Amino acid sequence: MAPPDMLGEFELVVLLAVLRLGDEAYGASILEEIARRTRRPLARGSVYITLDRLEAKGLLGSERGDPTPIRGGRAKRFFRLKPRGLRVLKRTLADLGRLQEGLAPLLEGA
Amino acid sequence: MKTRPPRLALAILNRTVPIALREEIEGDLIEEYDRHGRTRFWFWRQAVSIAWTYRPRPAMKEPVAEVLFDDARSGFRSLRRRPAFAVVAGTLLALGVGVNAAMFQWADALWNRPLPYAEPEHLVRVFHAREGGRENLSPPNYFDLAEETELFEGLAGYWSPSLTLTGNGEPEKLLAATVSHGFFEVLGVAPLVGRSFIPDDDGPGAAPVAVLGYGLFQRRFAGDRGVVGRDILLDGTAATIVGIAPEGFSFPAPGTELWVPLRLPRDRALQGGSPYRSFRILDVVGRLREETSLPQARARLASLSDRLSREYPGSNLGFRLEVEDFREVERGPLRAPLLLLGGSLFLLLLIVCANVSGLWIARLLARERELAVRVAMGASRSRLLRELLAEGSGVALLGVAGGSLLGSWIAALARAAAPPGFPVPPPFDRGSGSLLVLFAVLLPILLTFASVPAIFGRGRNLANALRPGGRVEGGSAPAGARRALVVFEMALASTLLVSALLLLQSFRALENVDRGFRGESVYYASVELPFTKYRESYRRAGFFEGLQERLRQAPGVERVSLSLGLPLDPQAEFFVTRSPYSVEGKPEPDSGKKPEAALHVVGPEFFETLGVSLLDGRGFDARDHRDAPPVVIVNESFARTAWPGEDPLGKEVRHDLVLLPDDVGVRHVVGVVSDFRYYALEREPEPQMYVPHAQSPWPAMHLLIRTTSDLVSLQTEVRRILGELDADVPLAPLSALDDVSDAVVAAPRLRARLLSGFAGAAALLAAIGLYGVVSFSVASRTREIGLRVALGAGRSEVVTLVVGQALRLALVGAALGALGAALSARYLSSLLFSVRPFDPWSYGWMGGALVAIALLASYLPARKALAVDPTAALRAD
Repeated sequence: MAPPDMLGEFELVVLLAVLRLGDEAYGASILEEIARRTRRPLARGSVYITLDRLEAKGLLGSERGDPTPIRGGRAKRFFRLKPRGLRVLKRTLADLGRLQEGLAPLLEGA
Repeated sequence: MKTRPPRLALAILNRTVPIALREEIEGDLIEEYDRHGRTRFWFWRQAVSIAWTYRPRPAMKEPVAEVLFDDARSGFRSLRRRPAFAVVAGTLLALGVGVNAAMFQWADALWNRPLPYAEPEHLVRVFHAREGGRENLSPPNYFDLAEETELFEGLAGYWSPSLTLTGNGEPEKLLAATVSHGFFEVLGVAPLVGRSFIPDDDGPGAAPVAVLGYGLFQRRFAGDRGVVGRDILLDGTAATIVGIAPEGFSFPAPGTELWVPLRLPRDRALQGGSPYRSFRILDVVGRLREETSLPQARARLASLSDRLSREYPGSNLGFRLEVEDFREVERGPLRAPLLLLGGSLFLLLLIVCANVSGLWIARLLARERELAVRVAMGASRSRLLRELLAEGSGVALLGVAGGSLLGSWIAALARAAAPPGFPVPPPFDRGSGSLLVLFAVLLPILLTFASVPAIFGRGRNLANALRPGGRVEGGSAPAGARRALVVFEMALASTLLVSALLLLQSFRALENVDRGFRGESVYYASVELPFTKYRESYRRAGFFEGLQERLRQAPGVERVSLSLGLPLDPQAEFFVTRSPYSVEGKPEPDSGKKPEAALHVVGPEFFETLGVSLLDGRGFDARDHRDAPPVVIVNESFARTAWPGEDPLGKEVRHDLVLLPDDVGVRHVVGVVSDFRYYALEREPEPQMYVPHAQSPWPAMHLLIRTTSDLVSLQTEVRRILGELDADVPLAPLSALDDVSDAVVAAPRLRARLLSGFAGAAALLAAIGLYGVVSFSVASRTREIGLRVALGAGRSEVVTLVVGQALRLALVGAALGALGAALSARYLSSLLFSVRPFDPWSYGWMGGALVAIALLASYLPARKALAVDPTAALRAD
């Protein structure tokens, strides 16, 4: 298993989606956001599992919203990045950026 | 909200998603479903995908099926690593199962032979039970019985003479049955074409009719249905064909091809007459009314018997009427032999199982170190046990599969080799159901035996095996189990040996019975005169006299004679009936019940032809012609019974039964001959009367010829002479007289041989098992033997050590086997002749055989033990 401050690829995707959605980040919106932006098939269950794992790692926090009729009377669970989550996300992105340095010609040719 | 999401999908989610996440996940799904107008299919797909993600997963545990498969695989691998065991054990089991399967199929075919009659469960055979045997019914008794209409739905009497079909080609002798008119109806058999017999066919004056058998119909009439209504010549008399029996119907005897009505006289005058009442020729089959049970029928017949013996004591006293299930007629004689053979083969199978188990224990002991290492490396006990069970089951399955193949192969061989008409196992149709039953019985046995070692192996402390010299354990549980198995094998083999020895002795005794006559180089053939052409008795007497006269001149012929029946022919009782008689100087018994003796018709020189010695007076010769005073020759038993201590010569004998109407039945004794076995080898000679053929010229006789020439030239000669005398008289092929009595001992001989074979196989298997145990014991006691030798034990002590063990096991087995034999004596006794079931010789020989087996089995191990070098043995391990 990866050390706590290293992010897996799908974890990175989920964190970015939560960050992007701000106050409106809950299961359905996160799924929708990822689907729209990545345009790739998504296993719904894996998103929930990943959200759980990120919360367990202390990168995400969550709170219950109010039940709404459109959800058949069920409450939402809103996610937001914890400071530690933001820090890990930043570092991962920076690592990725540094790894990309000087690779532009190669990557463009692909 | 447009539509409710699928409830079932939600329910599935409820079961699978952890409770903390349930609300959120379901809410998300419902929201999306509603807002984006997703289909129900979409909802379902999402729900299933989520449910799969959260499916229950056992914590690091392999699924059961995989574990079992794994066990089976490693068991198989282990068998493949040492194929010798699998091959030997599998072959042994396959042989055991194979012979049992074949035997079972065959027994089933015999026992459950489909009877060609409707509802055979209501059919009964009616007969007279008398002291020491059973008899058929006389026609008057049969007519009285037929009046019991509330008991029987129908009743039929029959007997089976042979008839000669002439005209339309070569004269042919046919096996025919003379039957009463209800015959086909009682059996529930409808003719294929035409009709069966009606009451009008069945009387002395009725027009002769006949029903053809299917085979005859095809053979002689090319299957032309137009033959119904046409006439055929039977024994020179025209009879009208009224019907054709369906294919496969050949009752009462296999090979019966023609049925004609009985046409017995029913005159009141004849009914009371003693001779007619004693003429017990009819077999009787009845169909009980559906509501009548066998015990009810018995009770009813008992009162009828009482009435008959009150009214006709002369013929009926001591003859009770009895009924038995008709199926019992065929099954009765089969029971003891089938039980014997089937039981023996089953014991053989048990021995095979024990042997395989023993082999397997040996294999486990040899693998002990390997197993111990595996336990030390963390393999669980249950895992090892499962693997061993899988291995055992593998061998058992191999054996059963191979055995069933072998069994059907043996059955196919038997089918091909069996004479026509002999019941054989059907090819996999009806028999396969009972075959399943057999395997249902066999499989657990095989599995039990195969798992014995695994169970015994459990109690072992395998850790011992890793210590240096840790295998020196004579008294360990597996070795003990192996010895127990060997004792078991020895016991079963001993039981079989005793049975085989008893049967062999019984067969030898039967073969060596003093028959009282010499049948070698005597040939016989039946000669039957067409009745119409030889209606007058002088013609019949003349023909046979001429035939004998001509034959005496033929080359090589020493003696020629005639006889009604043949000695030791199983049908002798049918040809030669008993007649009540009274003798000069003896008052009739108060009960009115006369003594009975067999009444024979024989030609001149009969006793000389058979080599029967004349004790007093003279034999028959030319003096005893038609017009001479009527004479009779009696045997020793008759003379002893009738005139104890008196000279029988010249005494008068009256026999009530006369074969021909012009016989008065009063004769004077001219000779006494020694007794000889007539009806059966195992039956003591009974009183007999012989009358000369010239004075009782019966039309159907057996020609007896003692000759020095061979069968073929004799046959040609007889045919030539017969053709010259009368071309219309058919001649059956000549046969050796000894063949008749040989046929009688054929069944006991086959039984004795089969059982000897089984017992031999059993003894061999037991010997192999014993050898295995003894040699293993020697191998594992090498150190001990070395030590003993080092301490001064001599060669004889070493040998005693090894042989003693083998002897102990064999003798314990023999003792148990003797017990088993004593228990099975009850089943065997009906098959024994002149040997008691507790014959000490048989038991003694069995003991001797077991000692021999023990010595044989310990020979090689003893040599090995003698070769032990004490220094090397003590240094080993």
